[in-house]
Amino acid sequence: MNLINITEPQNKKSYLCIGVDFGTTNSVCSIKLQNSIKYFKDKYNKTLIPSVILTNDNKKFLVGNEVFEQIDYSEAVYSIKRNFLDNPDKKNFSSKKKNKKLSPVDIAKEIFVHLKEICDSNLDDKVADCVLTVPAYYDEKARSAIMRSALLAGFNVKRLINEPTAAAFAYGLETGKRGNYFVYDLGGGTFDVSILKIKDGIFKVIGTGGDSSLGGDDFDELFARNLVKKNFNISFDDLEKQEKKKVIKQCKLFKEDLFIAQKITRDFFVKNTKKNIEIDIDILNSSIEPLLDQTIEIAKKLLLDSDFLLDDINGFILVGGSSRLAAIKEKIKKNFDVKIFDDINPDLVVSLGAALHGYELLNGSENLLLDVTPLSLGIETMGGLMEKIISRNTSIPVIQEQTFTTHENGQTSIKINVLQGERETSENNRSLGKFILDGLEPKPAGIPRVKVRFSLDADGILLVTAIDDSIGKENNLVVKTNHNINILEMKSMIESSIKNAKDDMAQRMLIESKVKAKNLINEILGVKKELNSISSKDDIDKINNLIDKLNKEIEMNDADKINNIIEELNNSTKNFAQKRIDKSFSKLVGKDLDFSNDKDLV
Amino acid sequence: MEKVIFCWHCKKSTDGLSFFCQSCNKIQKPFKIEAYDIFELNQEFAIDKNTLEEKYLNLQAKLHPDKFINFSEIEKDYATSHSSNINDAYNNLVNDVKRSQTLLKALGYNLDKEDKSFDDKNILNEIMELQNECMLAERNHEKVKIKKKILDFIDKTNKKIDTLIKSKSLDDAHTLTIKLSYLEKIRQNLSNNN
Repeated sequence: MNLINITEPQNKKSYLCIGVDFGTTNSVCSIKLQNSIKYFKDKYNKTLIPSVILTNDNKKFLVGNEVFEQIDYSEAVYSIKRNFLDNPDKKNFSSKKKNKKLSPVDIAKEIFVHLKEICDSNLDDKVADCVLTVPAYYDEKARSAIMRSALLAGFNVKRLINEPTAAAFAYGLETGKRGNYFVYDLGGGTFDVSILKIKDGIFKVIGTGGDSSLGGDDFDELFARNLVKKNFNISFDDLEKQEKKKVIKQCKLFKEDLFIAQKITRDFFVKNTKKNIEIDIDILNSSIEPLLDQTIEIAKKLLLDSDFLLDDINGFILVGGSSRLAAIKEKIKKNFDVKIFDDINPDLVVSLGAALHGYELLNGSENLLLDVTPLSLGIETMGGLMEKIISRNTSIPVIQEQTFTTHENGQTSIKINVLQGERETSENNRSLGKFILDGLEPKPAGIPRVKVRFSLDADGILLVTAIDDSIGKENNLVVKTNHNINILEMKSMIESSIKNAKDDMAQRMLIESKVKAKNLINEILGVKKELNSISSKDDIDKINNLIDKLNKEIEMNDADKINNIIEELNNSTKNFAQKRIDKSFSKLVGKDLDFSNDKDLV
Repeated sequence: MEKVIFCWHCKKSTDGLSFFCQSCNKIQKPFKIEAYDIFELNQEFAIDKNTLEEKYLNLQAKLHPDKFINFSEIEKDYATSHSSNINDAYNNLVNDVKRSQTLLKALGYNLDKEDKSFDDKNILNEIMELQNECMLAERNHEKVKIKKKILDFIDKTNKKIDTLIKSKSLDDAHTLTIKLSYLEKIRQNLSNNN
């Protein structure tokens, strides 16, 4: 039978949105066009872009497959995504470029810049809008830090979605899945497992579990340990750091070959000695078995926490490159006895889901994604305990309030420590930030009412507001480190910069200037009290004036003007900064210098 | 006197209880609304959870912030608030204990007044006995049996709460709600230890 091919009317222009999967090992970008999906390829015609970065001698960043074109790439930085779990803003990577120290956010930004360039070179018109995926089990800090990296690179992140949710969305749309599914997502650095209910175009996440520091990288290391021990009879721990890296890299390749073969014969180099060895799949499986068991336990616990029984589950969807291991499929079959689905390429499915979701977000659709927050959120109370305000696996967006009071008579300020995690005591959970609500009217202990409101938006980004109920004083905190601009402010800046800059480079410069300006303002406002007490009135007026001017300029889109005011502002605060240093020095020697009669020293 | 509410966009008056303006169809400012009213359900304890879920999903399909990506900031904010309220209301109704509390509150019952000293000896004894039985159950068929017994108890308690609320015996309904929360805890512990 011949079906008449009806082409869609061309006059209705659809909005384009890139699906970005920033992976530990590889990143993938794709887009949904009117009738097809396009995966973006780099100049080497590759879809999987290694999340690897290197500074070369021209002090230029090389990213992705470019790195492996170099003769020597031993200093390349791998798996930067794993560093987001610690402090994403700690500048502990050195780079030859400008001899600057870089933070994980800085490095990830360069990878995003590379991804953006690949997308641009594949499209007639530039597209900045994207849906960005993150591991479902990521905490607040890691989530917003990844988003910041992408924003700094000029991606306009329309929505942040969880990787397993994106994968389930792709399966639901592309293969028509209905029912309740486990998504088992084992990537290079993270393990996520989610249960989703898919019904009538609605994708509802029931619950999420995982381990954000368990992935294929850990398999490689365990595998390497066993192979070194078995074939060279030396301990892996005795190898030099660089040697370890080299050994692990070889074992990673052996592992990938064993995805499709039972037995391989390969040359294995350890400390410049070559051995031709036979590697059986069994040694790989036994090396990684403890970690596989860990993933199975996490999945079992998730099922228990949900109201579902095993009989309610229609299958397991496998996602992530590491899920290709036959041993994983066997383990799942043995423990859950359900169907396994892996018909969409596990390396591409997350990006595909993000692209499909992005298209629907911008062009409208009947489908709906309802996600949850993976970890409980709360605040520290007396005795260092965590009081939960939003429990894990609550559907987002969500707003919850709780009222707290003082524990000392006449207390005029309350310190609020925002926590994330499942443990009872605050020290065992992650502190997302601290802020102080002051200006409470002095009253007996237990009388003041301080309302703390947690709002978690559809991206999973947290805003905490504390309100002194008696006078309505508010204090906001978006999860951030030091004086960094908060992610919500940043999002709106990006939008205007993208509209107003003439090219990518100018756009990034503009964003950078705005962020720098905003951070500087935050920094000054953070020490305002001190500033007012030790600076001359002229200085204070001048600084306030410049801050006003700078705030106005941030709303405009001229990077040069912004930079000029930043410089002026830096100059005007030099005095203050010097006095501040002197003051803290004088405190050290035990006497306070009096600056009140000080006129301008310059 | 009733306060007249105007649409933030077209400035025409609205009923103050609809998510969208009847005149210009724009999403409206968040307003205070009881969980039962959000889903247009009768104020009864016994509800059909399938209907609840269906209504919940229908509302989210209209009000989730994903549906407002290309809208103004103000509309996005409103959508986030509405969607959060709907999530919260759904959670408060889908869970039996929370639903009973929500309903009691809506009926004007003060939940806090005797919360701290729950001393109904009969109920406490019953709960302790069940807890003991759970601890002693070792073999699988024993566990299955005790699980069934607890589910049975939960079911009966639910039915009693429904009758009590209908006959406006709110004090007794509150006492049984506390019992229900104990039973739920036992049930959860039982499945966690399996």
